[in-house]
Amino acid sequence: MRGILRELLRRCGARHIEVAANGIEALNVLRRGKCDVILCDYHLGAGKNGQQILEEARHDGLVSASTIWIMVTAEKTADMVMGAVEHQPDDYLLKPVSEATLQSRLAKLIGRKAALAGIAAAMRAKEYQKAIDLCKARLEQDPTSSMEILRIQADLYLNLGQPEKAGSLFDAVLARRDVPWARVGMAKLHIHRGHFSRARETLEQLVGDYPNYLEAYDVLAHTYQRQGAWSDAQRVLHHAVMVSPNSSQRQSALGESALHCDDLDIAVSAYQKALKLAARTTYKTPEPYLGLARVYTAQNKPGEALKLLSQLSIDIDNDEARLQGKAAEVRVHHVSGNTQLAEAAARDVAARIQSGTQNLSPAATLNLAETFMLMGNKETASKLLQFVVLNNHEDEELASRVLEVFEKGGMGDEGRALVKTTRQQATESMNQGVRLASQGKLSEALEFLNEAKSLMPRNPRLLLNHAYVVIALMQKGGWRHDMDNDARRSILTARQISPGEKRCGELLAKLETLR
Amino acid sequence: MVERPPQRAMPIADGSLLSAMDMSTFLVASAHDMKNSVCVMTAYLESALADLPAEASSRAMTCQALYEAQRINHHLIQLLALYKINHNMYPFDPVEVELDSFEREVVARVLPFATAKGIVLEVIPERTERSWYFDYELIVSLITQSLHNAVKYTRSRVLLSIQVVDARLEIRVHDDGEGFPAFMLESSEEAAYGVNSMTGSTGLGLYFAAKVAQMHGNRALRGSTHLENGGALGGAIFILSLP
Repeated sequence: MRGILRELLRRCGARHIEVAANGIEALNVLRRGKCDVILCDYHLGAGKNGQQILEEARHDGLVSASTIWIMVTAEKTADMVMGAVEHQPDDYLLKPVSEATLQSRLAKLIGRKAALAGIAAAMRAKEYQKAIDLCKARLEQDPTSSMEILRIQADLYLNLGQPEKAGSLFDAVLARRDVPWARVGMAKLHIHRGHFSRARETLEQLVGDYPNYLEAYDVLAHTYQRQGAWSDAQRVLHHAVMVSPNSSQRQSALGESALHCDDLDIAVSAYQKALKLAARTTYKTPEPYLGLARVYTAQNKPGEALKLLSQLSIDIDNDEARLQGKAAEVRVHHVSGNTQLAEAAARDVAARIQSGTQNLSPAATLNLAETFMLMGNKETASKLLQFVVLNNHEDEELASRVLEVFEKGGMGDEGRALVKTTRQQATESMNQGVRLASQGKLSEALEFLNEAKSLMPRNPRLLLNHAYVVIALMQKGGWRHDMDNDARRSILTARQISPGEKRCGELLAKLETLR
Repeated sequence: MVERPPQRAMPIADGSLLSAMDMSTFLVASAHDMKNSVCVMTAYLESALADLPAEASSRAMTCQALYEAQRINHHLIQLLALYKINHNMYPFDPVEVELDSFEREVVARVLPFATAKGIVLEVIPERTERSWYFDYELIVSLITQSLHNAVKYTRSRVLLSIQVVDARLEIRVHDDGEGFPAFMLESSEEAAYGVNSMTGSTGLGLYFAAKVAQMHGNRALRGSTHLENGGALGGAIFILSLP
C-alpha cells in the first residue's frame, strides 16, 4: 500500500516524498522537518493507530497549522464522525485511493485548510472566543461552508458556557432543514438546563428517525443515567459499544450502568476495556479505576480492588485522582471489615479534603461522610458535611441530602443547626465581597475574597466573584501574567464544578480581550 | 409517551456465543479482507494502465480487468455498508456538501475507465444551489456505481446532471445506450431488486441505491430513486432525488 501511495503522490506532482513503515518512523520523519501534506493509514498494525500518531504529532508541535493531515481508512467508522473537531485530521480518504481522487481532494483541502486552520488552532489553544470570532468572519466571507462552521460555532458556545447562543444557532439551523446534529445539540441544551425528560423525548424521536445516527445514542444514554434509568442506559450503550467499541469513555459509561443494574460481569468487562483503551492515550480519567474497584468490592474481592486503586495512583499522577483513590480505599477496608485500616485511610482523606487544595465531588464527599458516620467518626463526618454546605450554600437539594446523612448518624438536630449557620456564614461573606467591589475598593475586595476562598475553595459563585475582581483590577492597572493565571484558574475551577454557569463564558471572554 | 428506539434493530447480547458467531461474522470479516486485496489490485492496474502506451494491444484487457476489479470493490463496499445499515451500525452523518467538488470527485473516480473505453463523460456546469445536504461517502459510492454502469452500457456518451428541482436535489445519470430493459422499468420494487438469473443481475446496486436514498430525509420527506429511458441522450436515466 505504501508503494502505491508513493507512486500516486509522485504522479500528482509531489516532489519530496518520505515513507514511514510505522507510527514511530512517521514521528521521526516529522521531527526531521515539517511536511506540507501527510497521508497516514489509520490502521498501522500493532501499536498506535493513526489517530494517536496525529495527536502525538500535534502535541509535540511536529505539524504546523498549515499542514494537511489526511487519514486513509478502509471504511467510514463512527470514530470519524463522532470525534471532537480539534482532534480530527483534515480529511479522511476511503480506500481505494486513486490518482484522480487524491488530486481533487488535495485541491479542495488546500482551500479549506486556509479557512479552518485558524479556528482549529484556536480551539486547541482553548481560546474559544477567538475561535468564535474566526467562525463569524468565515461565515461572512464564504456562506457556502456555513453548516460546517455553524456546527463548530455551536460547540464553541457550549464550551464557553453560553447555551442560549448555541440554542439560537440550533434553532436557526433547524428552521432551514432537519439536521440530526442540531437536534442532538438541542437535547444537550435540555440536559444543560436539567430538563431531562425533554432531552429524552428529543433523543428518542431522533433515534427513531435516524437509527444510524450514533451520537444520539451516547447522549441518550447519558440522559437515562441522569434520570436514574440505568437499565435503559445500559441497553443503549450496549448498542453504541458494538458499533464503536474504541471509546474508553463509552465503555466506562457502560460499566457504570451495568454496575447500577447489578450486572457485575458486564461491568467488569466494560471497565476493563475502558482501562485498556485509555492505557494507550494521553487522556486518562479515574472513573474506570474507581468503578472497577467498586465492582470488585461488590464481588467480595477487596484484594483486587486495592490493587487497582494503587494502580490508579501510579497511572494518573494528580492530587485529585489520588484523593478519589484514597476515599475509595476507605470503603473497601470498611466493607471488608478492616476497621483500623479504614480509619487510618479515612483520617488521611478528611485532612486532604479540608485543606481545600484537593477535592472530591459533593456526591463523593457525602458518600465518604456517610462511611465516617457508619464507622462512628461523627466529628470528621460533620466537618466534611459542613465543607459541602459551604461550597454549595445555595443548593437546596444538596442541603437536604446533607441532612439525611446527619440523620443517619443520629445527629438530626445538631445537623439542622449546623447547616443553617454554615449557609448564613457563606452568604454573608459573599455579600461582603460584592459590597467592597461595588464601592470600588478592589484591592480590599480581593484580599477579602482570597481569605474566603481558603474557607470555601470549591464555591463556584465565590470563585467567579474572585475572577471578576481580578479582571476589574487588570482593566484598571493593566494585564499581568500572574493575575491572568489567577483569574483563569478560578473560572476554570468554577466551570468544572458547575458547567452550566453562564458567567464562566462571559468572564473567560473578557479575560481574552485583555491579553 | 414517546416511542422507544426500535428494539428489533438493537443487537442485544443474549449470552450465547454461538449465535453471535453465526456466518455473518465470517462473511463480514472476509468481505473486508477481500476489499483490501481488491484495493491493492485496483491501484496496480491503474498504474499499469497509466504506463501503457496508447497503442499497446494489452490496453483493452487491462482496462477490462480494472473495470471488473472496481466492480468487485463497489459490491463489497455496498454489501458491508448495507450490513451495517441494517444493524443500525453505519455511522450515518449527513453534512453540507459543496456540489462542485462532489461532482469533481465522482467524475474523477470514473474518468480513467471512461477514457480507456473512449466514452465522453459530460457534466452540466450551471446550477442554482452551490451545496446540498447528504452523507458524502454513501452518495459518492452510489453515484460512482451508477456512472460505472452507464459507461459500461452506453454507446459514446454519459451525462451527469446535478440540479436542485423543487427543493430536492436531483442527480441524473444519462447515457445513449439501449436503455433499461422493460422489466426493470415497469416491474415492482421486489422484482427489480431480486436476483435475476436471466440477466445475471443481483439487484444489489439498485437495492443499495434505494436504501441509501430512503435513509436521507428532511422532516416528512424522504429520498428516492427512479429509472427512466429517453431524456437528453435518449438512453437510460438513473435518477436519485434527495429532499
